[in-house]
Amino acid sequence: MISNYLIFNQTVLGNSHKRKGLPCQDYSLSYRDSDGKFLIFAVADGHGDRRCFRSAFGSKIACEVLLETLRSIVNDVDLTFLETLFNDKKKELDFFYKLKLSILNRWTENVTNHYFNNQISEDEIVKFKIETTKGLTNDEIIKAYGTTLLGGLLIDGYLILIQQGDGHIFIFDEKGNSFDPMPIDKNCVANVTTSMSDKNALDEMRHVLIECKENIVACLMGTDGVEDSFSSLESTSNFYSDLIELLLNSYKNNEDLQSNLITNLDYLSVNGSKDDISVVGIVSKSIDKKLLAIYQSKKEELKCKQEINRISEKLNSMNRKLSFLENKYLEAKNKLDATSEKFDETKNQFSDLKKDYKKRNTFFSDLIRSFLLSTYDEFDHKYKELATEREKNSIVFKNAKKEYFEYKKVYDGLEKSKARLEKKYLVLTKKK
Amino acid sequence: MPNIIDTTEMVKKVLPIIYVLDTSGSMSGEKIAAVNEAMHETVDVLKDISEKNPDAQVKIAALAFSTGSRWITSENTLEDLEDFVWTDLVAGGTTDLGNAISELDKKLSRSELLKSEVGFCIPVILFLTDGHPTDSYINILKNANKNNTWFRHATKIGIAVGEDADQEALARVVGNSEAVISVHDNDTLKALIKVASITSSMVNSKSRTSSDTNNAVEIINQTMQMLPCKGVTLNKSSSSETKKTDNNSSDYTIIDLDESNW
Repeated sequence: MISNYLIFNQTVLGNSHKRKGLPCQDYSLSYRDSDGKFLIFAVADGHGDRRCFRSAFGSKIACEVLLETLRSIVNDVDLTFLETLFNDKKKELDFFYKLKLSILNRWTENVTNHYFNNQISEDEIVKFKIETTKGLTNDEIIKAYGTTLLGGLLIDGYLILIQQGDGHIFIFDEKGNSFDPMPIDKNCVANVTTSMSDKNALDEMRHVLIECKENIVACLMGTDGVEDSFSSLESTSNFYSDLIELLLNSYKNNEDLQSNLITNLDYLSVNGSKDDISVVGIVSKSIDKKLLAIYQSKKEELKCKQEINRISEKLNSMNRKLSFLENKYLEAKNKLDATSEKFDETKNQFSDLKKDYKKRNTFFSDLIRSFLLSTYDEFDHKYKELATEREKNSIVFKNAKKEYFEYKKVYDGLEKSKARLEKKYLVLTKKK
Repeated sequence: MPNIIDTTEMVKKVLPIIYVLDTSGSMSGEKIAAVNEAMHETVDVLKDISEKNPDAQVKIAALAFSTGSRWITSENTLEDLEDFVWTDLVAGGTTDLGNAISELDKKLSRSELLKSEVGFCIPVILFLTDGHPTDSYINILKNANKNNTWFRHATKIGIAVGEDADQEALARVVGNSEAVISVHDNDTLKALIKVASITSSMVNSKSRTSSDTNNAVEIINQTMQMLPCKGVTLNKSSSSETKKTDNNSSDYTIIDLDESNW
């Protein structure tokens, strides 16, 4: 059973860390028992906050502690005991409480020892702007090593998973579905995470126990550098299904898996999250071409659905400005129409006046001529003023028109693309 | 080997900046004019910054409150900076801060304002007021903090305009008295809105732990350093002095947008 699973782990330094000369704060490990009884895998993401200046050590220690603790379970616990946990909630909670307490106590002890064996260096003081005059409090010491932790143990048909903080676990079943089995931590939202260094870490740490027969073909997990590279968890799941294919192909073709992983994860960091990236997991060698084809078709479907949603989002974002520009255009049009009407009216009146003036000029007295002349001047002035105003309004109108129709063209184009994609999506889902 | 690289679609996270602006009667005249002017200018600056931010794409929402509250921007989506247009606010009415918080509580969720195909950074919410709340906001605030994780974790900053602003209420809303800045003249107010928006877009795209409350303070500290004018008070016992610089001008100074700032 265990021999049927490939196990792997890989960590790469984040692109932004390279740029800033920061260390890799992620850590990952995978362990295959030499007697072929069990597999253990762990990944941890040390926090980037400057107060967590020892998080690179914190993440390493967390993974090592998890390995050590899970190994001790294998040695200390009768495996038939695990089966009894499925039917006894209290027993399950009690077992996992002790397991988590052990992990947290060992981690706290190890990071504290590490701190006192490795006093803060000048380099750390400068790089992380550490205030050392008062010395660090115990809480600050623990915080300095702050990290997340995810990991698991596969043994004899059981999968034990542990998680503290953000990141996601993906279980793939034999039908091509994937899901995250871990209960949600409501305090992990956006770029905020819970931590091994939290005072209530014992309450926050999550667990899940899964019966792992032929129904589960892979379990993969990573630090948030993976999921932050994608637009959604579904996309992240697709990335992991690609990773499964990569692992199987590397295994079957005897290729250098580590090197393939590094190339892909480096690319992901550079073009995606810029963060350190770590992945670990187990993959069944039983995954066949049919299952891989299901992953591919799901990916195409999702890509189409996401594109539709993305266009809808953009259209929503554009709605207000579209109506603003339309109003601006219509206002400018009305203003220009009104000025033009007035201009034409004045122009006609002026033309009549000119004719009248010419006709009557010779017959009237100086006084009347003078009056006509002043009216003529008045009209001439008004005519010129209106011409200038019309010209100004015409420019405003042209600009408003251009701005509105250019924006509308983009909007209409997006609406058309959305309609086309919706048709495509229907075809894809019908095919399924 | 399968080409993961080709099938990978990578995107920036969205960093929401939400402005919650008092448009009550006492804001009328020069104060509201300063807010309007600042908002026009802020968007242009943010566009530039957002393009250079490798970690996040800034999107905006604005909620005005007086007698009740209403969204200035689209009600159900954050707006891209390129789609954002500012329509000038007119002041009048009471100061229903509780109503504004209730509206935020309603809309700050993945099924409403934060509905997106893209992941989110924790939002920044800038509260601006010059008066005392005229509705009972305390229980509404408690509920929002208790039930809405996005509201609870959001980086909240208060801008208290003038002497009459209820700084205690603002501190309660943003959850930290150090996250409130008092501003005493309109030119400074204009500059402050812009600079606080800029620093927010820079600071809040970094990850943090749920027990941290310091993003707001970091934003304010950076804002104070960048602000080129006097007339601003930090509500912080250790540094409750007016920031003074040699430069008396309230004009906006160019901010170094070198990549290292990120």
